[in-house]
Amino acid sequence: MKKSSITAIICLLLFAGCDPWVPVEGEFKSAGHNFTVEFPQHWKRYNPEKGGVVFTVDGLALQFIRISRTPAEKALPHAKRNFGKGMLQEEAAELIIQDLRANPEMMNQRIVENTPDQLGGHNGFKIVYTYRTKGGLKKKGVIYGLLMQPWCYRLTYEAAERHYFAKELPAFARVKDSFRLLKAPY
Amino acid sequence: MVTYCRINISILVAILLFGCATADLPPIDEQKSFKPLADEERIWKRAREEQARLDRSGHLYKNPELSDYANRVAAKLVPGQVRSQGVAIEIRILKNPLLNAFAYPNGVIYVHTGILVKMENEAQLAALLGHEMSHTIHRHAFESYRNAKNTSAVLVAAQIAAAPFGTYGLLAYTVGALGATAAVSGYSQGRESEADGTGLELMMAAGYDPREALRLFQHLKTELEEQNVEEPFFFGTHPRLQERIENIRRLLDTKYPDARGFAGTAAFNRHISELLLDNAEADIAVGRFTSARKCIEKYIGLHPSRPEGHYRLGELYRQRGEAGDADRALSAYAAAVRCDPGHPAAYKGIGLICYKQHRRKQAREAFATYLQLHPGAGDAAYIKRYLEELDTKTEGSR
Repeated sequence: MKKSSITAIICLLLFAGCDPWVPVEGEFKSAGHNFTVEFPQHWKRYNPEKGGVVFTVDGLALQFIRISRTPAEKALPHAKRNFGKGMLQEEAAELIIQDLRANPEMMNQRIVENTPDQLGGHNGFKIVYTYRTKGGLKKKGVIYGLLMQPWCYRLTYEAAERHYFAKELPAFARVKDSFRLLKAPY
Repeated sequence: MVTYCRINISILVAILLFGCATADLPPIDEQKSFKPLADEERIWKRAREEQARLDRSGHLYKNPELSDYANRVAAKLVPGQVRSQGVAIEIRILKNPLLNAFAYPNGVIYVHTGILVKMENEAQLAALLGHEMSHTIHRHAFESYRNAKNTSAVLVAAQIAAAPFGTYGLLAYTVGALGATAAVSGYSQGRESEADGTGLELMMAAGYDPREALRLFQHLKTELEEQNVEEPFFFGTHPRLQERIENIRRLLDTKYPDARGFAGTAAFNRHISELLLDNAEADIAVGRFTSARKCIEKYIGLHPSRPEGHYRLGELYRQRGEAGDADRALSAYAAAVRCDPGHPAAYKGIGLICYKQHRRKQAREAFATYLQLHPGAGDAAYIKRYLEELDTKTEGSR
């Protein structure tokens, strides 16, 4: 057997055990991010994500759900400001919108909706937006947010606007409705 | 960030200057019949492609009156020989709070809103347009591009330099290779000096005061020093602004010591005033509160009795949230209400501040007035939630 074939087989064996995608169905609990949610069938969790947990059915470029918890005192990457003490849910939504607007990856961005909503039984907010990627793909996203000092929780669903957004929207609604904080923040 | 940008901008300039030892081509206005050379035609085609991409990017500032005004100022500057050669100079405005303007070889000039709001009069606008137009007239883009050793390196360096500026820095690579050269690094010192000289000539031929060119660049340099930040674009860098200042001062002292002309402050302010608030909004979105405050205060100076400026100042303080900002915001919202007692958004601002300060009675009154004045408000659901919460809490207004 040639040397290159042996190397290829070794690589195949090594990478076979490193799949970053793990199927999820039913309850998903993240003690690190202090939440629990219920996932329907076919969703997979992406392992290497930092600062949150990411799930998809068809691949990240086509649709994903990201559940994140970020320290309120940490400045958002594009707006360069943090969630100040005493900030209202509406002001938190306003800041997230500014951060979206300043995101270099999002062209022709439009905020479709910014309304109060509930997340995990707490008063939060909902933002709906659309944009085009640098490659020209039109995407649509929904963010349910909850500023609960010292954390800001965000549940984001984003997908290619055509076909994929509507396809998994009901699944996202189920995930959102099942979202609960494991422990009440202090 | 200052050091970061300075290093990258220095790299950019070095890359650009490396490939600039070419023979000068005759300017467009000095030819009997100008026709782009074959490879120049290709550059023009590429310029049109980059412009189409830029125009589709959502970065264009849509204000037809201001665009018409800028194009009228440009039309006064364009030499008759250039117009007769069929080269159309056209000004397009980009919503971008960073300091810059750049010209494509085919005569399309893009001006950022960020540099427009820093100007004081029409002569300063003419100075900037005259400088940029001169690059087109002297075919600088074509000369530089034909000899550039590594244009992809220019783009990569532009992206690195622009990265900390989010979507506004992104423009550095949305413009493409041609635009990046013009917008980010500028041309060789000799070509920029040539543009300074021709720009002044064009200003004077149109009757503008050439001393305003010096004032503009000095003012931009002061702005950068006050903010203690280097921006990724040509007119946002100290060394290139210093070059402009020294060059123009020398020309004014030696060639035009007695030159005087028209400044055009009133007309300029009339066209620029709405832009001041729009640009302030863009500044706030990237956390540039000092720059935003200057824009808003300039607007208030121009229109002290209009509520919008006072309201925006209140919004700036509310969003900045530093010590004392809540009181500053309240005072600005109150000024807006004094200008127009029917200004709904100012009441909402007052409501938000009072709500956070637990001044429930005042908050309730302000929110109720807001909804009364603007029943179909897009944020009515938030206001109703505040009112419900206020109603369920024990009355404890101060």
